Amino acid sequence: MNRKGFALLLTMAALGILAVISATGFALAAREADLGRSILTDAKARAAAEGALAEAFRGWNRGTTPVLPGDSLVLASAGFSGGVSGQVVLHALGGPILALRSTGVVWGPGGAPLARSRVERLIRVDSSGADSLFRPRLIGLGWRPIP
Amino acid sequence: MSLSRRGFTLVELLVAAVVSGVLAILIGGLVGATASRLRDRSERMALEQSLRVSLGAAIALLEPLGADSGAGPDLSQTGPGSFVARSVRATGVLCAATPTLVHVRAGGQWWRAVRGLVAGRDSLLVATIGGADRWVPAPLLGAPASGACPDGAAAWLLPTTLSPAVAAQVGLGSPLRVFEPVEFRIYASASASWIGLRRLQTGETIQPLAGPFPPSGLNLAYTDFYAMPASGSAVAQVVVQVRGLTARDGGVGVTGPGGSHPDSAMLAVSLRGRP
Repeated sequence: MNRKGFALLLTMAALGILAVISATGFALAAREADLGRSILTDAKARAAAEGALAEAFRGWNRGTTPVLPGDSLVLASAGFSGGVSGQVVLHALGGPILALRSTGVVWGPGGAPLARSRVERLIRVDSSGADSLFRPRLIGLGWRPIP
Repeated sequence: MSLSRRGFTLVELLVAAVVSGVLAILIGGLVGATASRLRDRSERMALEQSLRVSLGAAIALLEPLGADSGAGPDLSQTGPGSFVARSVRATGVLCAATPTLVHVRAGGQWWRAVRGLVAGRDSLLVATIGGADRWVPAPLLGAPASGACPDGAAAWLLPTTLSPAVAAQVGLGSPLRVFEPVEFRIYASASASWIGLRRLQTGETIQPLAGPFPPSGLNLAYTDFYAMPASGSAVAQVVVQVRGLTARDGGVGVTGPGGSHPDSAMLAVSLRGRP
């Protein structure tokens, strides 16, 4: 007997629809996960930059403070768990005001940076402690270099 | 026609139709519910993205603002639905200054700008290197010209006017900010609220930044150092509240029929240098 049915066609169509829905769901979930991961890595990079900056504010030897415009000194390098690092460089601008530039980076598995954040603060070198360490005074003026 | 073939009986057709109908109803319900959940999730993500864009724009504008007394606060006007602020267009470091010209170091390490400077539209703020910490306001009177610093390094020469007393307080190593005033405003359009920006010197109309939000979904507030409501020069913190709804009514499994899903975010930015 040669019977022709449509159950196979119906099943295939239903499976096709379910596959499309599943693919859309996976794509949405992946997009959301990427978005969340991106925000998290940005926050980690920013926190690393801020953490390294805080380390720099503990002070440094006054004699090593750069003076000539463009001279710089690496004040602190900090590593954090999860492939996160931060570094602060002190830049001389030519006068009593200097720039503390801190960079936080979240590194990916292949060594490429996943996120990078930079924080810059202006300091003035007109005060120092009794010991040999120089502790900068933050200038609380609105300053944020354009990235 | 072959005699070996025969048709389906009525009972077979009815059974097949009933089974197919039941399957179609089950699959249709599953497909509909899943599609609705996905659409709802997508709309919530779009709303979250809209909130992020709104607060990101507010952060970009508010974070660099200072409140030192030398040049007046960077937040110059505050109202219930808008504020005017100095928006940074370039930053640099001076290598020399005269009463009519400031020399700004050129090169990527020193000079950062989002666009070319325009006289009459942009203004300068120069930090003093002598005396108290403050920014000195100065006009930009002409287009920047290429030149050199006294030490021979490349420089931009910016025509301006400084009093002799101010010129004596700024010079080698003074940080420089170039800014133009912009208005951040909450406005209504098509029965919705939007966040917009407007450059005051060009006389342009408001440009939408983020939206749409419900009519009462956006709020601006100003507080002093003690988080009490403040206005004018007493403002130490700007609070931006954003509340939105997903576009579609009724989210299956989320809010139930008849209501959109709400989400909100708040941002409080303190002005730098507020004593």
